[in-house]
Amino acid sequence: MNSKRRAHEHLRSFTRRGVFAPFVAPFLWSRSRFVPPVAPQNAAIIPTRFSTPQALLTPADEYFVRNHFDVPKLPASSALRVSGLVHSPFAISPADLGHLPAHSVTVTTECAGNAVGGVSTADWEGVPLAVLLKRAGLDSKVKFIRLVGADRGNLESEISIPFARSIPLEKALHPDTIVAFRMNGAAISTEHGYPMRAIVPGWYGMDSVKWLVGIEALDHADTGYFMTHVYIATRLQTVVGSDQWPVRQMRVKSLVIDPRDGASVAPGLVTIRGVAWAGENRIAQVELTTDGGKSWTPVILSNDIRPYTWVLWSYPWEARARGVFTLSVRATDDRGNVQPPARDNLRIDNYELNWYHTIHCEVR
Amino acid sequence: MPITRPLGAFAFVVLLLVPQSSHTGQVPFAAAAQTSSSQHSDPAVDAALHDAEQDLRAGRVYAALAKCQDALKLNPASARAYYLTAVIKLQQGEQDEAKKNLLQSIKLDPSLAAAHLDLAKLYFQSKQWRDAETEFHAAQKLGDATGNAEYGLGLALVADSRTAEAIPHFTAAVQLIPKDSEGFFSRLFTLMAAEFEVKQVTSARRHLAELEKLAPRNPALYYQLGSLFKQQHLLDDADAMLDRSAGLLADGESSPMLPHSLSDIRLEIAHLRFDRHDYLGAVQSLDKFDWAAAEPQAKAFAREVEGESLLAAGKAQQAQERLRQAVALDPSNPELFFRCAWALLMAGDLAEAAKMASSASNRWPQDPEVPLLFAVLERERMPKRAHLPYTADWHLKGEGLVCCPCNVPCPCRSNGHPTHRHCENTGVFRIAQGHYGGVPLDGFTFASVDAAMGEGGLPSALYVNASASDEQLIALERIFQSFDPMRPFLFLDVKRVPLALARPDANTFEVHVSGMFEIKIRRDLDDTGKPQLETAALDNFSNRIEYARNLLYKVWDAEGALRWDYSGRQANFRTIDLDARDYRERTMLAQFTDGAGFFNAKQLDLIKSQKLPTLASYPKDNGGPTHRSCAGQ
Repeated sequence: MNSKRRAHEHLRSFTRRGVFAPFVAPFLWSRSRFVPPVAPQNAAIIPTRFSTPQALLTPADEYFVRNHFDVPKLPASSALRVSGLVHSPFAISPADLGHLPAHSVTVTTECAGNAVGGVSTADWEGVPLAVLLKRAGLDSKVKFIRLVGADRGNLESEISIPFARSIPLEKALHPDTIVAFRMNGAAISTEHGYPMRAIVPGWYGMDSVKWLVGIEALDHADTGYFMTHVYIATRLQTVVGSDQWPVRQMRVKSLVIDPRDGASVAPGLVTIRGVAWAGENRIAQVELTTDGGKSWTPVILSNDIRPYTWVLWSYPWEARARGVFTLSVRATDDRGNVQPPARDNLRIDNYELNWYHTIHCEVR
Repeated sequence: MPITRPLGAFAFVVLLLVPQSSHTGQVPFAAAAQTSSSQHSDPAVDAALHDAEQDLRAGRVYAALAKCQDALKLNPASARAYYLTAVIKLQQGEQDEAKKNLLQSIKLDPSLAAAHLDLAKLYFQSKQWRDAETEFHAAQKLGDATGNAEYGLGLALVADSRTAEAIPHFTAAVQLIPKDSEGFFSRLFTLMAAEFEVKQVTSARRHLAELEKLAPRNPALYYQLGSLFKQQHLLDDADAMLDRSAGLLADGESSPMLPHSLSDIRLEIAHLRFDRHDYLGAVQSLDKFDWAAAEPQAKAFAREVEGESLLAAGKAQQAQERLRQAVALDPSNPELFFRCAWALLMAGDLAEAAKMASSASNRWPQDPEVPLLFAVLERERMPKRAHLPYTADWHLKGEGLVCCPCNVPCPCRSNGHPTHRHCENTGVFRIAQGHYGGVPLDGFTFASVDAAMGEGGLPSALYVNASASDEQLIALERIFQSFDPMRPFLFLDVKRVPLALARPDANTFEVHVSGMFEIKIRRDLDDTGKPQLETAALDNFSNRIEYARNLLYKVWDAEGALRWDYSGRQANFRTIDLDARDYRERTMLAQFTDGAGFFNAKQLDLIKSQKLPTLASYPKDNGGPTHRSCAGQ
């Protein structure tokens, strides 16, 4: 069967041809445009484990992992270079970074293509990006700051490119946007970006560039692959064309963590637990339905409600009748944004997947 | 030692390089392993080793090993005892031990050719090509009369990507073996394969004829030849050889060297033809597929190839039938659901397409194909689109120009790669007369700006006149869809702008869209008004283009992240007279694009049959063959 499978793969690769077809190419649909390109070993999110549903912070070994290329192994002395449209470019080692005034922020980070498991929360300690940019002296024309990782590889061409994302200057200068060197009180582990990574609170995870080795000041929108070919939301217009926008700020979202989908519970009082977050905004309300959406009940929000960080919630459900129940949860933020009930059928990308989270559980 | 390359087409002969003593149970070493002149003869040791050989021949392996150990006790410097121990260890599958004993044997007596040969084979097996080469070379120098050392040396060189160096060794190996012996055939095949690889085609073809004479009805030979030609991109030959192999199998011939069934080979031929855009040929190959005997997954794949081929050939109705069968045969494959839903949509059955998409979505909600499929289906339900079928007739008559940064002539127009490996191109087209179904396209002008051919590229944009109707835009999208029916085609970025193709004089064309792009070209005509440089070309709107003067080509659409100035580079012009039939009947050169570096056989056939103009020479392709010409085709 191997030969058939190989042939099958060949067929697939053929159907995705077109790169070399003059004037066909400009319009050819390519799936690569709509899903993040990944190295084969990174084709899926390694989800958060949620071993303790009531814990605010996710331990490093349970924190979700999603990479674009192979994990680089950087030495402790690996330098971070600040360059571009700055008056005094410089490089700084993690040790020297540690001598600068530190700032900590608790951040929930979600993968832009996450349905359920690609979201975690950690305490990050580092130096505000603004401090480094100030030291370099930004040119007045600077509009964007490019964050470059040490992870790199080949995508659609023979040329190796690094993973890099750009954020607007305003976000880069926000005091909570940091170059982090500690996670949950310990050095950042290799898979989470050792020795330094960016933390861009409230924005989807790809902007918190891991293995950070470069900060570049730009006077124009970054036209690099990871800014123009992926992480673009695309919604078809009803006649022709589409609306497109960059995927950046995390959308309001909530999850049921316990019980898990498909679990069985005993009749009686069942504590439903979960998390909800709203990126740069605050969670205003989280509601649960146990009757397929006929009625929604607010749940109990347990910790401080603040931007960037998820809220732990719980709900005491009196499971009296036996049978299979469908539970859905939805959150609303302090700006009135509410989770949509289902996927927007005109979206052709796979980002911002924030529709209601639904699980099924059997009472028996 | 790095592994530089797999042996590819040579791989099947590698089996012959397994150290013989490890798998045959025979003892081929005796003659070669006699005590050499550099070793002192000791009657007691000789007797022990003689007995050991006798035991080994009789299959008494442990007794043989014990006698070797006895011999080594008597003479710890007996190279022959170490060699014999190595042979025994090979038989027992203990390759590391065998290697140690071989190394010791060679250390004690470097003149033992058999020890060098077996050590070389062990290195070869563990892909230590350079070490294998050294040992094969040593065996060869010591006078290996069987040609095994020459043959192994050749294979080690091939594995080390030095095929040209290998050929004299393969030639010697062929000469050193009788023509009627078992190994002759394999060696000759290997020599031929190497010759094809280094483009010594005349000699390779001569050896091919010799092989065919030796085994005219051996399906395994033709299958191997087909595989070899596929690897060498000699696809006409590959098709013919695979077809011959299948024909022989159908006639009842067989070969233990052929692990594939007749259906497997038919499927492989179909796939090869699909790959070459010979879609109807692919379907034809599967006419002879043994549906009753094949496994379900193989049948599903065969139906998929049929369905995809029919879809590519513009036969959506038949395609969806085959793909439905494929889904029924292998409901575990999400790709089949998506392909089938797409074929159903192309065939105009929106309701069934939606059902198929829902089935896929329920099973694989996280599949990245799901949103695209749902979005396309959702949009097709809209009234303005629903009344414009995918299969309507259309016709376009007009003219168009394209600018890009490539050289003149442009390699990608002759089935190569862009000159600079990227191609930020802009095309402007004016349709004087045209329609899609009932939608008139008379006077419709559109432009596209794109950089998709390069290293990842940038978002593309379509520019149309503010006066363009929704129906005209849908019609244009449908026309582009018919260029390649196999996957959804979408204009994602549509901009309505004041757009006109101005003509300041008879041969000059000018377009200026404020704040977006500016183009000016002049046709390059001779005194009689004929184009100076006109050629057959891969293009969606015409099979011929003429190169023109690129006077100005600037794009600065900041919103679409498009920005360049390629003034003075390449420009071309075409007259358009294009019909839906041109695509349905597969008469467009662009339908056979495969990036081979130069027009492929199918394209050359079309150039000939349509009497298209050709240039005296075409540019060397960056990623393909060297400078070639199709003049006179």
